[in-house]
Amino acid sequence: MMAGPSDPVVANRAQIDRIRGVGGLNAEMCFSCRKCSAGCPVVDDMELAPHQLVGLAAAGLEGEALRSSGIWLCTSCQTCSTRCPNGVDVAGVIDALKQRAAASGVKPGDGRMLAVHRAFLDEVRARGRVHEMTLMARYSLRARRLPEGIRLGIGMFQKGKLPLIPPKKTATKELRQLFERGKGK
Amino acid sequence: MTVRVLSYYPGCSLHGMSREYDESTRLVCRALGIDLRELANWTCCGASAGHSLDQGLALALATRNLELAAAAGNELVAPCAACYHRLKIGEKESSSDVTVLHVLDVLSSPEMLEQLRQSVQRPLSGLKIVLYYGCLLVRPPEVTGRADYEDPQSMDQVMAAVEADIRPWAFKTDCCGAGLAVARPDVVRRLSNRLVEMAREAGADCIVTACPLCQTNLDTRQEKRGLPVLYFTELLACALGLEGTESWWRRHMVDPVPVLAKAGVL
Repeated sequence: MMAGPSDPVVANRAQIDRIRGVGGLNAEMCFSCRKCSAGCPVVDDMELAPHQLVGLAAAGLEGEALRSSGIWLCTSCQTCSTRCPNGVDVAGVIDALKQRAAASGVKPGDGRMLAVHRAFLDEVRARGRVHEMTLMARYSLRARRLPEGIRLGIGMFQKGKLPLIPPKKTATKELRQLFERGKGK
Repeated sequence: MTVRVLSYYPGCSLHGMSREYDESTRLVCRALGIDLRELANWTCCGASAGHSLDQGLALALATRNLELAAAAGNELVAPCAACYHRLKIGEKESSSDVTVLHVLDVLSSPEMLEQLRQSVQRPLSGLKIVLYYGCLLVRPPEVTGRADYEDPQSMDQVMAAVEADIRPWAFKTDCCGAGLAVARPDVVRRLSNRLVEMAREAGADCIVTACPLCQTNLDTRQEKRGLPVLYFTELLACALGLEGTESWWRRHMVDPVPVLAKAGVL
Protein backbone atom coordinates (compact mmCIF):
# COMPACT_ATOMS: atom_id res chain seq x y z
CA MET A 1 0.00 0.00 0.00
CA MET A 2 1.25 3.44 -0.88
CA ALA A 3 1.48 5.80 2.06
CA GLY A 4 0.28 9.24 1.06
CA PRO A 5 0.12 12.44 3.10
CA SER A 6 -3.45 11.66 4.18
CA ASP A 7 -2.47 8.20 5.40
CA PRO A 8 -3.35 8.03 9.13
CA VAL A 9 -0.20 6.09 9.92
CA VAL A 10 1.94 8.76 8.28
CA ALA A 11 -0.03 11.50 10.02
CA ASN A 12 0.46 9.77 13.38
CA ARG A 13 4.11 9.30 12.60
CA ALA A 14 4.44 13.05 12.11
CA GLN A 15 2.85 13.65 15.51
CA ILE A 16 5.13 11.12 17.14
CA ASP A 17 8.11 12.81 15.55
CA ARG A 18 6.96 16.13 16.96
CA ILE A 19 7.00 14.71 20.47
CA ARG A 20 10.31 12.99 19.76
CA GLY A 21 11.64 16.15 18.25
CA VAL A 22 11.55 18.09 21.50
CA GLY A 23 15.02 17.46 22.83
CA GLY A 24 15.20 13.67 23.01
CA LEU A 25 12.19 13.03 25.22
CA ASN A 26 12.15 9.34 24.25
CA ALA A 27 8.38 8.89 24.67
CA GLU A 28 8.47 5.88 22.33
CA MET A 29 10.81 4.04 24.74
CA CYS A 30 8.01 3.67 27.33
CA PHE A 31 7.05 0.03 28.07
CA SER A 32 4.40 1.04 30.60
CA CYS A 33 6.12 -0.13 33.78
CA ARG A 34 4.26 2.70 35.55
CA LYS A 35 7.17 3.63 37.77
CA CYS A 36 6.56 7.28 36.82
CA SER A 37 2.95 7.12 37.96
CA ALA A 38 3.87 5.20 41.14
CA GLY A 39 6.16 8.03 42.28
CA CYS A 40 4.01 10.94 41.08
CA PRO A 41 2.90 13.22 43.96
CA VAL A 42 -0.28 14.35 42.20
CA VAL A 43 -1.35 11.18 40.38
CA ASP A 44 -4.40 10.81 42.66
CA ASP A 45 -5.80 14.03 41.22
CA MET A 46 -5.10 13.21 37.56
CA GLU A 47 -7.65 11.55 35.32
CA LEU A 48 -4.79 10.45 33.07
CA ALA A 49 -1.67 9.25 34.88
CA PRO A 50 1.85 10.11 33.66
CA HIS A 51 2.43 6.71 32.01
CA GLN A 52 -0.88 7.13 30.17
CA LEU A 53 0.06 10.61 29.00
CA VAL A 54 3.37 9.27 27.69
CA GLY A 55 1.58 6.34 26.04
CA LEU A 56 -0.85 8.63 24.24
CA ALA A 57 1.94 10.94 23.13
CA ALA A 58 4.07 8.04 21.87
CA ALA A 59 1.14 6.60 19.92
CA GLY A 60 0.44 9.96 18.30
CA LEU A 61 -2.96 10.11 20.04
CA GLU A 62 -2.29 13.25 21.97
CA GLY A 63 -5.73 14.86 21.58
CA GLU A 64 -7.10 13.38 24.79
CA ALA A 65 -3.90 14.27 26.62
CA LEU A 66 -4.07 17.90 25.46
CA ARG A 67 -7.54 18.28 26.94
CA SER A 68 -6.71 16.57 30.24
CA SER A 69 -6.32 18.37 33.55
CA GLY A 70 -3.49 16.00 34.42
CA ILE A 71 -0.94 17.83 32.31
CA TRP A 72 -1.66 21.06 34.20
CA LEU A 73 -1.47 19.37 37.61
CA CYS A 74 2.09 18.19 36.93
CA THR A 75 4.36 20.18 39.27
CA SER A 76 7.50 19.40 37.21
CA CYS A 77 9.03 17.81 40.31
CA GLN A 78 11.11 15.61 37.96
CA THR A 79 10.63 12.43 39.99
CA CYS A 80 9.24 10.57 36.96
CA SER A 81 12.02 11.61 34.57
CA THR A 82 14.64 10.80 37.20
CA ARG A 83 13.32 7.29 37.90
CA CYS A 84 12.34 6.11 34.40
CA PRO A 85 14.34 2.95 33.63
CA ASN A 86 14.17 3.66 29.89
CA GLY A 87 15.30 7.26 29.93
CA VAL A 88 11.91 8.73 28.99
CA ASP A 89 11.81 12.39 30.01
CA VAL A 90 8.27 12.05 31.33
CA ALA A 91 8.09 15.57 32.75
CA GLY A 92 9.50 16.86 29.46
CA VAL A 93 6.77 15.03 27.53
CA ILE A 94 4.15 16.58 29.82
CA ASP A 95 5.74 20.01 29.29
CA ALA A 96 5.56 19.46 25.52
CA LEU A 97 1.87 18.57 25.90
CA LYS A 98 1.24 21.71 27.99
CA GLN A 99 2.96 23.88 25.40
CA ARG A 100 0.96 22.34 22.60
CA ALA A 101 -2.32 22.55 24.51
CA ALA A 102 -1.72 26.24 25.28
CA ALA A 103 -0.74 27.03 21.68
CA SER A 104 -3.54 25.01 20.05
CA GLY A 105 -6.35 26.80 21.81
CA VAL A 106 -8.09 23.61 23.04
CA LYS A 107 -10.14 24.17 26.17
CA PRO A 108 -7.59 23.53 28.91
CA GLY A 109 -8.33 20.71 31.35
CA ASP A 110 -7.44 23.10 34.18
CA GLY A 111 -7.98 26.70 33.11
CA ARG A 112 -6.79 28.06 36.45
CA MET A 113 -3.30 26.60 36.05
CA LEU A 114 -3.01 27.94 32.51
CA ALA A 115 -4.14 31.34 33.85
CA VAL A 116 -1.36 31.23 36.47
CA HIS A 117 1.32 30.52 33.90
CA ARG A 118 0.03 33.21 31.51
CA ALA A 119 -0.28 35.77 34.30
CA PHE A 120 3.25 34.96 35.42
CA LEU A 121 4.74 35.52 31.96
CA ASP A 122 2.67 38.72 31.57
CA GLU A 123 4.31 39.97 34.75
CA VAL A 124 7.83 38.98 33.65
CA ARG A 125 7.32 40.73 30.33
CA ALA A 126 5.94 43.89 31.92
CA ARG A 127 8.42 44.25 34.76
CA GLY A 128 11.38 41.91 34.29
CA ARG A 129 10.94 40.66 37.84
CA VAL A 130 7.83 39.28 39.48
CA HIS A 131 5.89 41.30 42.05
CA GLU A 132 3.70 38.85 43.95
CA MET A 133 0.74 41.18 44.59
CA THR A 134 0.56 42.24 40.93
CA LEU A 135 0.85 38.60 39.88
CA MET A 136 -2.22 37.79 42.00
CA ALA A 137 -4.14 40.65 40.37
CA ARG A 138 -3.12 39.45 36.91
CA TYR A 139 -4.20 35.92 37.81
CA SER A 140 -7.61 37.15 38.95
CA LEU A 141 -8.14 38.98 35.68
CA ARG A 142 -7.00 36.01 33.60
CA ALA A 143 -8.96 33.40 35.58
CA ARG A 144 -11.91 35.76 36.17
CA ARG A 145 -12.06 34.83 39.82
CA LEU A 146 -10.55 35.98 43.09
CA PRO A 147 -7.15 34.47 43.92
CA GLU A 148 -7.50 31.18 45.78
CA GLY A 149 -6.66 31.46 49.45
CA ILE A 150 -7.20 35.21 49.61
CA ARG A 151 -7.37 35.06 53.41
CA LEU A 152 -3.93 33.50 53.46
CA GLY A 153 -2.73 36.34 51.24
CA ILE A 154 -4.06 38.89 53.71
CA GLY A 155 -2.31 37.04 56.55
CA MET A 156 0.97 37.05 54.62
CA PHE A 157 0.55 40.75 53.89
CA GLN A 158 0.01 41.48 57.58
CA LYS A 159 3.22 39.58 58.38
CA GLY A 160 5.08 41.90 56.00
CA LYS A 161 5.81 39.05 53.58
CA LEU A 162 4.25 40.72 50.55
CA PRO A 163 5.77 44.09 49.62
CA LEU A 164 3.19 46.59 48.42
CA ILE A 165 5.55 48.51 46.18
CA PRO A 166 6.67 46.61 43.07
CA PRO A 167 10.34 46.37 42.12
CA LYS A 168 11.46 48.82 39.47
CA LYS A 169 11.25 47.67 35.89
CA THR A 170 14.37 45.85 34.70
CA ALA A 171 15.49 45.31 31.11
CA THR A 172 11.90 45.31 29.88
CA LYS A 173 12.82 46.46 26.38
CA GLU A 174 15.23 43.57 26.02
CA LEU A 175 12.68 41.12 27.42
CA ARG A 176 10.01 42.33 25.01
CA GLN A 177 12.36 41.31 22.18
CA LEU A 178 12.85 37.87 23.75
CA PHE A 179 9.07 37.41 23.99
CA GLU A 180 8.48 38.59 20.41
CA ARG A 181 11.20 36.35 19.02
CA GLY A 182 9.40 33.26 20.28
CA LYS A 183 6.11 34.17 18.65
CA GLY A 184 4.95 32.37 15.55
CA LYS A 185 7.26 29.42 16.05
CA MET B 1 40.41 35.04 55.63
CA THR B 2 40.29 33.95 51.98
CA VAL B 3 37.67 35.82 50.07
CA ARG B 4 35.71 33.98 47.42
CA VAL B 5 33.92 36.27 44.99
CA LEU B 6 30.67 35.01 43.48
CA SER B 7 27.97 36.56 41.32
CA TYR B 8 24.67 36.47 43.16
CA TYR B 9 21.25 35.82 41.63
CA PRO B 10 18.63 36.38 44.35
CA GLY B 11 15.59 35.80 42.13
CA CYS B 12 12.17 37.41 42.53
CA SER B 13 11.08 35.66 45.74
CA LEU B 14 14.13 36.82 47.69
CA HIS B 15 13.24 40.42 46.85
CA GLY B 16 9.60 39.74 47.74
CA MET B 17 8.03 37.24 50.12
CA SER B 18 11.34 35.65 51.22
CA ARG B 19 13.53 38.61 52.12
CA GLU B 20 14.71 36.82 55.27
CA TYR B 21 16.33 34.17 53.05
CA ASP B 22 18.13 36.91 51.09
CA GLU B 23 19.26 38.70 54.26
CA SER B 24 20.39 35.52 56.03
CA THR B 25 22.26 34.26 52.96
CA ARG B 26 24.13 37.54 52.62
CA LEU B 27 24.86 37.75 56.35
CA VAL B 28 26.21 34.20 56.62
CA CYS B 29 28.28 34.46 53.44
CA ARG B 30 29.82 37.73 54.57
CA ALA B 31 30.77 36.15 57.90
CA LEU B 32 32.43 33.26 56.09
CA GLY B 33 34.46 35.44 53.73
CA ILE B 34 32.29 34.93 50.67
CA ASP B 35 31.76 38.10 48.67
CA LEU B 36 28.34 37.94 46.98
CA ARG B 37 27.96 40.47 44.18
CA GLU B 38 24.38 40.79 43.01
CA LEU B 39 24.11 40.77 39.21
CA ALA B 40 22.95 44.18 38.08
CA ASN B 41 19.87 43.98 35.85
CA TRP B 42 19.09 40.33 36.55
CA THR B 43 15.62 39.31 35.41
CA CYS B 44 13.24 36.45 36.23
CA CYS B 45 14.52 32.95 35.37
CA GLY B 46 11.18 32.07 33.72
CA ALA B 47 10.19 29.59 36.46
CA SER B 48 7.52 26.93 35.79
CA ALA B 49 5.46 29.24 33.63
CA GLY B 50 8.29 29.57 31.12
CA HIS B 51 8.93 25.91 30.49
CA SER B 52 5.23 25.04 30.68
CA LEU B 53 4.25 27.42 27.89
CA ASP B 54 7.30 28.13 25.75
CA GLN B 55 10.49 26.10 25.75
CA GLY B 56 12.49 28.62 23.70
CA LEU B 57 11.44 31.57 25.84
CA ALA B 58 12.24 29.63 29.03
CA LEU B 59 15.77 29.02 27.81
CA ALA B 60 16.21 32.60 26.65
CA LEU B 61 15.10 33.99 30.01
CA ALA B 62 17.61 31.81 31.86
CA THR B 63 20.55 32.35 29.50
CA ARG B 64 20.08 36.13 29.56
CA ASN B 65 21.17 36.00 33.21
CA LEU B 66 24.05 33.65 32.43
CA GLU B 67 25.34 36.17 29.90
CA LEU B 68 25.36 38.83 32.61
CA ALA B 69 27.29 36.45 34.85
CA ALA B 70 29.74 35.60 32.06
CA ALA B 71 30.47 39.31 31.65
CA ALA B 72 31.10 39.59 35.40
CA GLY B 73 33.50 36.63 35.15
CA ASN B 74 32.54 34.77 38.34
CA GLU B 75 30.59 31.64 39.20
CA LEU B 76 26.89 32.31 39.71
CA VAL B 77 25.18 31.35 42.95
CA ALA B 78 21.40 31.18 43.50
CA PRO B 79 19.69 30.46 46.84
CA CYS B 80 16.31 29.57 45.26
CA ALA B 81 16.11 25.92 44.20
CA ALA B 82 13.74 26.77 41.34
CA CYS B 83 15.97 29.55 39.96
CA TYR B 84 19.02 27.33 40.44
CA HIS B 85 17.31 24.61 38.40
CA ARG B 86 16.32 26.89 35.50
CA LEU B 87 19.78 28.52 35.42
CA LYS B 88 21.43 25.10 35.56
CA ILE B 89 19.40 24.00 32.54
CA GLY B 90 20.48 27.22 30.83
CA GLU B 91 24.10 26.43 31.64
CA LYS B 92 23.77 22.96 30.13
CA GLU B 93 21.70 23.81 27.04
CA SER B 94 23.65 26.91 26.05
CA SER B 95 27.08 25.41 26.87
CA SER B 96 27.71 28.46 29.02
CA ASP B 97 31.14 28.99 30.56
CA VAL B 98 29.50 30.12 33.79
CA THR B 99 29.12 27.53 36.54
CA VAL B 100 25.78 27.76 38.33
CA LEU B 101 25.82 26.86 42.01
CA HIS B 102 23.33 26.67 44.84
CA VAL B 103 24.35 28.26 48.15
CA LEU B 104 24.55 24.74 49.60
CA ASP B 105 27.19 23.82 47.00
CA VAL B 106 29.31 26.68 48.24
CA LEU B 107 28.87 26.02 51.96
CA SER B 108 29.31 22.23 51.82
CA SER B 109 32.86 22.24 50.45
CA PRO B 110 35.34 20.60 52.87
CA GLU B 111 37.04 23.94 53.56
CA MET B 112 33.75 25.71 54.27
CA LEU B 113 32.54 22.90 56.53
CA GLU B 114 35.77 23.15 58.51
CA GLN B 115 35.36 26.92 58.73
CA LEU B 116 31.77 26.49 59.94
CA ARG B 117 32.95 24.05 62.65
CA GLN B 118 35.57 26.55 63.76
CA SER B 119 33.14 29.48 63.78
CA VAL B 120 30.28 28.03 65.86
CA GLN B 121 29.35 30.31 68.73
CA ARG B 122 26.07 28.68 69.68
CA PRO B 123 25.93 24.98 68.75
CA LEU B 124 22.47 23.83 67.60
CA SER B 125 22.69 20.57 69.57
CA GLY B 126 19.42 21.32 71.38
CA LEU B 127 17.48 21.72 68.14
CA LYS B 128 15.90 18.68 66.50
CA ILE B 129 15.54 19.26 62.77
CA VAL B 130 14.56 17.48 59.58
CA LEU B 131 16.12 18.65 56.32
CA TYR B 132 13.83 19.25 53.38
CA TYR B 133 15.63 19.58 50.04
CA GLY B 134 12.57 19.47 47.79
CA CYS B 135 12.69 18.66 44.08
CA LEU B 136 14.64 21.05 41.96
CA LEU B 137 17.80 21.26 44.01
CA VAL B 138 18.53 17.62 43.25
CA ARG B 139 16.49 16.41 40.25
CA PRO B 140 17.04 15.36 37.57
CA PRO B 141 20.69 14.34 38.11
CA GLU B 142 21.47 15.05 34.44
CA VAL B 143 20.82 18.72 35.24
CA THR B 144 22.04 19.02 38.82
CA GLY B 145 25.00 16.67 38.48
CA ARG B 146 24.21 15.16 41.88
CA ALA B 147 24.82 11.48 42.54
CA ASP B 148 22.87 11.45 45.84
CA TYR B 149 19.58 12.72 44.44
CA GLU B 150 17.40 10.24 46.37
CA ASP B 151 19.16 10.93 49.67
CA PRO B 152 21.02 14.23 49.34
CA GLN B 153 23.65 15.12 51.92
CA SER B 154 24.87 18.71 51.42
CA MET B 155 22.43 20.34 53.86
CA ASP B 156 23.01 17.48 56.33
CA GLN B 157 26.74 18.19 56.23
CA VAL B 158 26.29 21.92 56.70
CA MET B 159 23.86 21.56 59.60
CA ALA B 160 25.98 18.83 61.19
CA ALA B 161 28.92 21.24 61.11
CA VAL B 162 26.98 23.53 63.47
CA GLU B 163 26.03 20.50 65.59
CA ALA B 164 22.27 20.41 64.92
CA ASP B 165 20.37 17.30 66.04
CA ILE B 166 19.40 15.96 62.59
CA ARG B 167 16.49 13.51 62.60
CA PRO B 168 16.34 10.92 59.84
CA TRP B 169 13.20 10.91 57.67
CA ALA B 170 12.26 9.61 54.26
CA PHE B 171 10.75 12.80 52.82
CA LYS B 172 13.83 14.89 51.99
CA THR B 173 12.99 15.15 48.31
CA ASP B 174 9.21 14.59 48.15
CA CYS B 175 7.38 17.34 46.28
CA CYS B 176 5.49 19.92 48.40
CA GLY B 177 3.43 21.08 45.41
CA ALA B 178 4.41 24.75 45.64
CA GLY B 179 3.96 25.21 41.90
CA LEU B 180 0.22 24.69 42.31
CA ALA B 181 -0.09 27.13 45.21
CA VAL B 182 -1.98 29.88 43.41
CA ALA B 183 -4.52 27.84 41.48
CA ARG B 184 -4.92 24.50 43.24
CA PRO B 185 -4.61 24.96 47.01
CA ASP B 186 -6.72 21.82 47.49
CA VAL B 187 -3.96 19.62 46.04
CA VAL B 188 -1.15 21.58 47.69
CA ARG B 189 -2.68 21.33 51.15
CA ARG B 190 -2.64 17.54 50.96
CA LEU B 191 1.03 17.41 49.87
CA SER B 192 2.36 20.01 52.30
CA ASN B 193 0.37 18.80 55.31
CA ARG B 194 1.71 15.30 54.78
CA LEU B 195 5.28 16.59 54.90
CA VAL B 196 4.59 18.53 58.09
CA GLU B 197 2.96 15.48 59.69
CA MET B 198 5.90 13.27 58.75
CA ALA B 199 8.37 15.83 60.13
CA ARG B 200 6.48 15.83 63.39
CA GLU B 201 6.48 12.03 63.45
CA ALA B 202 10.26 12.11 62.94
CA GLY B 203 10.47 14.10 66.18
CA ALA B 204 11.53 17.40 64.64
CA ASP B 205 11.13 20.81 66.31
CA CYS B 206 11.22 22.44 62.90
CA ILE B 207 11.66 21.82 59.18
CA VAL B 208 14.73 23.29 57.49
CA THR B 209 14.62 24.27 53.81
CA ALA B 210 16.86 25.70 51.08
CA CYS B 211 14.17 27.15 48.79
CA PRO B 212 11.81 30.12 49.15
CA LEU B 213 8.94 28.31 47.44
CA CYS B 214 9.24 25.24 49.69
CA GLN B 215 9.56 27.38 52.83
CA THR B 216 6.57 29.57 52.00
CA ASN B 217 4.44 26.65 50.96
CA LEU B 218 5.14 24.59 54.08
CA ASP B 219 4.93 27.58 56.43
CA THR B 220 1.64 29.01 55.18
CA ARG B 221 -0.66 26.00 55.00
CA GLN B 222 -0.53 24.53 58.47
CA GLU B 223 -3.86 23.99 60.11
CA LYS B 224 -3.21 22.51 63.54
CA ARG B 225 -0.52 23.56 66.00
CA GLY B 226 2.28 24.74 63.81
CA LEU B 227 5.73 23.38 63.11
CA PRO B 228 8.15 26.20 62.24
CA VAL B 229 9.79 26.13 58.81
CA LEU B 230 13.18 27.83 58.63
CA TYR B 231 15.84 28.53 56.06
CA PHE B 232 19.13 26.76 56.74
CA THR B 233 20.85 30.14 56.46
CA GLU B 234 18.72 31.57 59.28
CA LEU B 235 19.90 28.76 61.57
CA LEU B 236 23.51 29.17 60.44
CA ALA B 237 23.31 32.86 61.38
CA CYS B 238 22.12 31.82 64.87
CA ALA B 239 24.85 29.21 65.23
CA LEU B 240 27.53 31.68 64.17
CA GLY B 241 26.18 34.18 66.71
CA LEU B 242 25.58 36.85 64.06
CA GLU B 243 23.70 40.08 64.82
CA GLY B 244 20.61 41.11 62.88
CA THR B 245 18.40 38.03 62.98
CA GLU B 246 15.45 39.49 64.99
CA SER B 247 13.47 40.93 62.06
CA TRP B 248 13.32 37.54 60.30
CA TRP B 249 11.19 35.65 62.80
CA ARG B 250 8.10 37.82 62.58
CA ARG B 251 7.88 37.21 58.84
CA HIS B 252 7.22 33.52 59.48
CA MET B 253 3.59 32.43 59.63
CA VAL B 254 4.43 29.83 62.28
CA ASP B 255 6.41 31.67 64.94
CA PRO B 256 9.81 29.94 65.33
CA VAL B 257 10.88 31.94 68.40
CA PRO B 258 9.51 29.56 71.10
CA VAL B 259 11.24 26.55 69.54
CA LEU B 260 14.51 28.42 68.99
CA ALA B 261 14.47 29.90 72.49
CA LYS B 262 13.77 26.52 74.09
CA ALA B 263 16.69 24.99 72.21
CA GLY B 264 18.96 27.79 73.40
CA VAL B 265 19.59 28.95 69.85
CA LEU B 266 18.55 32.59 70.30
